[in-house]
Amino acid sequence: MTIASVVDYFVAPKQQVRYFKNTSPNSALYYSSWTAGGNNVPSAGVTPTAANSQPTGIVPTVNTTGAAVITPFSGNGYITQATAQCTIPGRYWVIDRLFHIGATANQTVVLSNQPSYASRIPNGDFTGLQIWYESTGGGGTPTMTVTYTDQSGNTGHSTGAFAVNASSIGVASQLPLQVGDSGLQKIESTSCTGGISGYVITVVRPLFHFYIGNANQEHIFPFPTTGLPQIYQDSCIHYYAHGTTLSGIGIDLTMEIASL
Amino acid sequence: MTIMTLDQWIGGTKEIKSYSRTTTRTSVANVWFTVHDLAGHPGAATLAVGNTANGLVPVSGPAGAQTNGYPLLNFSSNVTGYLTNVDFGSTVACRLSIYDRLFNCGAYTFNAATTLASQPSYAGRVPGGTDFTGLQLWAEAVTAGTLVQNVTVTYTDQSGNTGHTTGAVSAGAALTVGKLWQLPLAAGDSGLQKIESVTGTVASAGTFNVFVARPLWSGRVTIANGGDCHGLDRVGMPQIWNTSCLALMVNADSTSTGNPDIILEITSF
Repeated sequence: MTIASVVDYFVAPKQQVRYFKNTSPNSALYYSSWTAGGNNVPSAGVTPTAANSQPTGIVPTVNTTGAAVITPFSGNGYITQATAQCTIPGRYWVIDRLFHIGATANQTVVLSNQPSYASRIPNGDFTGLQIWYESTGGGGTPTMTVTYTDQSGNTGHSTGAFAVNASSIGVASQLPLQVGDSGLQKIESTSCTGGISGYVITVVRPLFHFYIGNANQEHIFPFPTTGLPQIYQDSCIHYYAHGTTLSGIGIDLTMEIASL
Repeated sequence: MTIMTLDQWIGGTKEIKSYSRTTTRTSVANVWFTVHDLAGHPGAATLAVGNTANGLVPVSGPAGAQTNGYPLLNFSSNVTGYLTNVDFGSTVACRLSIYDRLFNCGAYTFNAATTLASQPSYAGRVPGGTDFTGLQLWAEAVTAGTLVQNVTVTYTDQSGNTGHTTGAVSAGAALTVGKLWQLPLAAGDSGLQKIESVTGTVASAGTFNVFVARPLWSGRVTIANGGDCHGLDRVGMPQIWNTSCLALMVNADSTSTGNPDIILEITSF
């Protein structure tokens, strides 16, 4: 069923999903929590590489190491509440990681037989999906170009050449879609110039977003703030974050998932 | 349909749009500056409007009709859209404001004296198609100027009365690119249906646009790299349209517009 009312939310079974990262790349830029290691829940994800992800790319799932651990639920699932605290202020995008592919430094990759992530978007609607770059090593001045099939199935669209930041591992940058596009169905190719390390390209579906304004204080985000984004049993949930200082920005995040 | 209950918001279709700027602009403390022409997501708009004789009603989407610089909105014209959530932050302390850019014209030279004709209507982007109250009139510097730019705009007010005027409004200082200054409406006016003429005086160099804004939301970033999340109770759920051009202006505490990073939730029902 669909949660369509406050009463539906009240009666829906709920679970608490914890996402705890106490080590992260040091950056006042956006970074990906995917590979953040240490004494974390869940464990650090594995970086997709040329060897393990080309030429098709991978659709990571809830069972992929690095994804938030979700207990299987019946019906439709929604993120209905979150509580979070962090040692420094920062901004967070909680996302469903739909697709990723890795490459070596400055490698051009033409993808083929890409697996579809259509089952992880509501109503077959590819709008709102985003392309991100993740650094796998510090240094260089990489410029990325990604071609893709847009939300309506038009092929050969491009992000154009976009300078990204690779100052440290895990630093992430969103790549702009071509004007007129609002999402994408498929990555077609990736290319990089000016890099000295490998790179990762992801397709993500933003779920909800929040800001930690005060260090070491609990922040509660009820459903009017999360917006009840729908998730799936196999959703691969983690976050992109932007800290306010050069200190590492981990987080202790608990998400309430209601299903009906 | 109109969202009239919390249940309807819950059941509404949500879309998430990002609005960030990856380059900064030199600003003046406590003065509004435009940033929709800077690089980021969505891509940069062209600052000069490119039409001085008639003006343009910029539109954003559906696909194929997008004007760069504004998020592409996806909801159908058969449903009603609302801005329901704004998550925002910036690398500088500032106030951020999002508005629907309903109409713009320019770029005018410093000494322009232009009477517009055949202006396209923006009635399709105000509630009910008839309520022009609350709309604002702004001038926007396109190129740097010499001496202090003054701008006079005559307009048709919210009720259809023609020939109302702002009087000559000073920019306060020589224009710098992207600077904004609001033009006060005539006493007793609360909005406008149409810009009739634009006149520039005093300055000896520089160009500027004039635009009509429908303010939707504003929020304060209290410290550098700070931000907040405003849910529907704080945003107030202003109605928008799938052609709305959601544009951003920044009023920084210091001399840089910083890198604003905003995420918008739009609910349609």
